[in-house]
Amino acid sequence: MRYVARRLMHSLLLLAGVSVLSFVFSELAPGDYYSELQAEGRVSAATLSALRSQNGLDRPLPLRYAIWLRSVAHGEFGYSLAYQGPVGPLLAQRIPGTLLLTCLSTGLAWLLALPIGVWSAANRGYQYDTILKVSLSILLSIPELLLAIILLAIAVQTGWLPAGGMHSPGGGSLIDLLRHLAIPVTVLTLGLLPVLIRHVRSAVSEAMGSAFALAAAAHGIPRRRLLLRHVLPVALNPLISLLGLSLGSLLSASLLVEVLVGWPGLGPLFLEAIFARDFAVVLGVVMVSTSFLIAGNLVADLLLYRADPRIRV
Amino acid sequence: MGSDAVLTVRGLSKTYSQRRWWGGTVPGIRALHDINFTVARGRTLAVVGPSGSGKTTLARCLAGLEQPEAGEIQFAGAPVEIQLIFQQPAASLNPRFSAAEVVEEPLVIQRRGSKPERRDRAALALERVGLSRTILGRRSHQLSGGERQRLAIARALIVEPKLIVLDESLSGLDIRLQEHIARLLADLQSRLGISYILITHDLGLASRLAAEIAVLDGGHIVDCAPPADLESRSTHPATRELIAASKVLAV
Repeated sequence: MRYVARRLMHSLLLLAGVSVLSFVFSELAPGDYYSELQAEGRVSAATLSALRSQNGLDRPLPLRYAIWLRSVAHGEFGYSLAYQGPVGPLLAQRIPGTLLLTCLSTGLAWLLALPIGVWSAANRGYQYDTILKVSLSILLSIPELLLAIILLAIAVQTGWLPAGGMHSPGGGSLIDLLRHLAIPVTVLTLGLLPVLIRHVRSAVSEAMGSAFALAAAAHGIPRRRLLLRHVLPVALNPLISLLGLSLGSLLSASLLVEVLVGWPGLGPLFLEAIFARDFAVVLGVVMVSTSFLIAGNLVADLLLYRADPRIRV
Repeated sequence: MGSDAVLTVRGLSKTYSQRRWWGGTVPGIRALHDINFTVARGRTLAVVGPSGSGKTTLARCLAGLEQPEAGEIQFAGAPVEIQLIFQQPAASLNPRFSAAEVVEEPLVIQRRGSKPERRDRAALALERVGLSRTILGRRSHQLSGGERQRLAIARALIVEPKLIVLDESLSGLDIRLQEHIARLLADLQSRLGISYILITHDLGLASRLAAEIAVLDGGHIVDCAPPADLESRSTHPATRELIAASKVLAV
């Protein structure tokens, strides 16, 4: 319990650090939400400066940060100039979509990677394993965005799958949702899969080559039991740590894929906010992704803590 | 020896081949060539040789971890009654298993006995190697080096083996611990009538523990004699080199 409390404290500190850095970087970046209006020249300079001071953009950085912190405490996470409202509800609306996509893809990728990786490690050096290795290398070298575009093109050409969005107009059934999920989940899963399989394969191979696995084999332990009962639990440690990282890395991939397939998650919101220089929303999404990453790692560390009694830090 | 032989090895040969990625194989190193020996019940045969002489390959063939390509291994018992104790017994313990699980695992896979029976036998095996029952719940990282060594021996003992192959199991231990384990092995031999094949590069150790010493060099057995006669009966330069080396070390 004390371990969890300490980890939570670390996480809060990390979030605070990320928010401070984000503020500093936003200050260094040129322009703000009103720069575009200014460039168009239709709004007078006086009006613009009035708007800026009305929205507090002319205040010094530390003060703006303090105001932002207060709004975080109220659950508002700042004020979006583009949406003319607090950021909190905007994020809350988009988070479930992104979570659904990332958790589903991560889960699916791991479900596939574990058996394939173990199988591949058990058949190291045979033809099938070589074929698998080559296909993984090819898959690894295809960018996710290209994969998404190819799948979308196929979907549009054939009409088998919807080419974007989360629901068909008027349709809200589970089947409809799954049909919309198919492309983004496939892209994200295939993107993560080669990395995971390689890690599972090497972790299992390493554990299989260790002296205790050899000793177990010498005792005539059947191959299946050897792999599942002896080797896999030992190979699991590095994989559990990877689980946390995979959640975080998938999130960043997900933001891009969401934009491409028009998935109503954080991705499109983030992109729009960047183009509009709607800083509060950008910061909100950054904070959410950081929290995802922290949560993923925390879950992984707790699993590791449970799985291996040697790791009691 | 004759009918009293526990193990008879005739014409054993082993060549390691390399697997090609498309599935073919290319012949590689010839590790063992026409090996013949017998081990009598309750006796110890030492197999001594320099690195790369084929000692470990021999151990692995005897334990069934490698398939020899020629020759026969006649063993008076079930295959499981040959047990192998590794070069680093401590590393041969699964880090995620408790001492009880380590020792019971051979019984579990053979579906021998109920759970409480297995626990009793595990405790008995631990007792035989001088470990207390209280360590049953501990994992290997919570044990000392000597305890791990004994645990590995207990695991071999639990299936009531007729032959234990010790593959450099005593090397790399500090002298005092080596002495303890050697005494333990000798004690188990006299009480349970187990035969040992002691594989080592240490001729001194072999002379103290074994009734007979076979010298392995380049995959051939070049000399085989009781320790006292080895020097006078040796015919091969490899044997003389080993004797000379052990004398230097003894001084």
